[in-house]
Amino acid sequence: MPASVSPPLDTTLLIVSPENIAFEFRLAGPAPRLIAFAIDVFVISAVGVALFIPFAVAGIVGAAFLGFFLVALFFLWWGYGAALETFNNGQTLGKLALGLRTVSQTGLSINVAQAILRNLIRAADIAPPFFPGLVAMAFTRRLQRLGDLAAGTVVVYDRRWRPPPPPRRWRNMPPDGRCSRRPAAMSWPPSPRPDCARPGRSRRRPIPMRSSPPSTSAP
Amino acid sequence: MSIAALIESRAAEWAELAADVAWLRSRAGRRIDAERAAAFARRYRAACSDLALAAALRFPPTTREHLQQLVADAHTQLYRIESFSLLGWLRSLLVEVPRRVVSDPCFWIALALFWSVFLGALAAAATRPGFAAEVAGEGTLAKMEEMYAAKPGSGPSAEGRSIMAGFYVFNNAGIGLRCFAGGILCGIGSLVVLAFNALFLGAIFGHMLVAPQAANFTEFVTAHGPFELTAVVLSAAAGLRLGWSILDTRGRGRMDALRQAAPEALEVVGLATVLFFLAAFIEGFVSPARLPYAVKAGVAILTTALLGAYFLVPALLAGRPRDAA
Repeated sequence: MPASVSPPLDTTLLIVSPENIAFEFRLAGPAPRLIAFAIDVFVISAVGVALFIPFAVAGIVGAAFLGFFLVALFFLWWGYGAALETFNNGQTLGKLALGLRTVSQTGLSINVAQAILRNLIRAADIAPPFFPGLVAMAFTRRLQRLGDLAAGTVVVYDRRWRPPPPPRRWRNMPPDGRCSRRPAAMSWPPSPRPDCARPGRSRRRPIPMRSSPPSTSAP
Repeated sequence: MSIAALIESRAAEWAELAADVAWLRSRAGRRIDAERAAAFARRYRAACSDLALAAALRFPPTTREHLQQLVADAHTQLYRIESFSLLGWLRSLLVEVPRRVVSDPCFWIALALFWSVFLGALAAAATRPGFAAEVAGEGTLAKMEEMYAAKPGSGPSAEGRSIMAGFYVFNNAGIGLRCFAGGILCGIGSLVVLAFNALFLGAIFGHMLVAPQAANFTEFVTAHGPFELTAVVLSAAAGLRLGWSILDTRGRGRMDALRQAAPEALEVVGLATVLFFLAAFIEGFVSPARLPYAVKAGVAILTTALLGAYFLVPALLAGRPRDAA
């Protein structure tokens, strides 16, 4: 069972995996989540209208279809978030647009029950005049609304990181990793650089390591 | 080996891990290739040790962040719960849920609250002429009287019935789900919604039963009554279960208690939604049909018996072993 620790006063969630390695999720606050929700509401309305057109046309032939339309509307409104978060790895379309993702607060992906639960309880979260969801987010360390608290989920940033290019200084580095010239002592912004690029340590011995990284060994 | 060379040598495998994660996400819930899954697990563990190295050897922050995200993504894919089985789900629905509902004080509280408020409002509306109008409003009462002026069956056609069934699903099941959601506010939301609905329904029942349209009204509401009223009570009971777990934590943290109660409450509200759907079907197609009253009363008796059997049989079967233990 992965342990999860919240560092005090930070918008990160630290997860310790069974591999005994800690990694962070960046928690998403109310603003991006509200925008994502607004996008979702827009999508639901758009789908509702789009559904209504064929139903209305069919309704001229037989009014019975309007009944099915209302049932479809019920499933759309209550099931949209739950279905997308279940089958799209915790992302509704609004969350996808803003780069957010719902994960379990233990760091696992959410399951069906969690997705349904947090989307049902949204009805209480957005209840005027107090908007309990916003209040709950303000008072919980992991920025959880009531639905999140019940389902044990958090909403985190899910950035599509591209592997960063190696720092510029390295490109001209000889393959043995020794720095060929002294870097400028004061440069701004300070670019990430290897330890050997620090002033005064330019002739540093290469870091002793196994020649093959541990991953290449058999599992 | 320098850090730069190390990062370069590992970058290809990190890219493969990222591709694996994307692949697993696209295959959510479907069969996956065992060999590739095993390779994915190996790459994930390698990335974990890379992340440890990155912290120890102070890799550049961008690389470290990339690696963090990669490990986090892979972690959510490797450790996941996919224990959905139809048999287990059926067993839960048919055995465990009724057993839990019957032994849950929240259910009995919701049931008692609903019926006491409902019957009280009914009696008040039937005996005191102004009461129903105060609760429901003159307009609603006038509409109700107009609605039941004609005998069921002379009203909407089959098409109209389908629309009404759809509307009942949308409206009633929606009320039920909202009633459940309100339960997270320490159960108060559920109780308020339940009491309000009981008061409203009771007032209308009381008013209509002494109105000239009483015969048509009872004929209409008989068939779907048992399912619909039970569903309302179940929604509120599930919400109350949710809210009560925050107050009575039984020694656990409040949030832990809530998280443990939530899946159980969810099953109950799922049952309530199923009942709402069945009730809407009956309300849309049986209640307004031109059938003899005996048939509609038969439907009501049958559904009541079904509900009674559903809730009581698993509890009775379980009663003895539990007492022994």
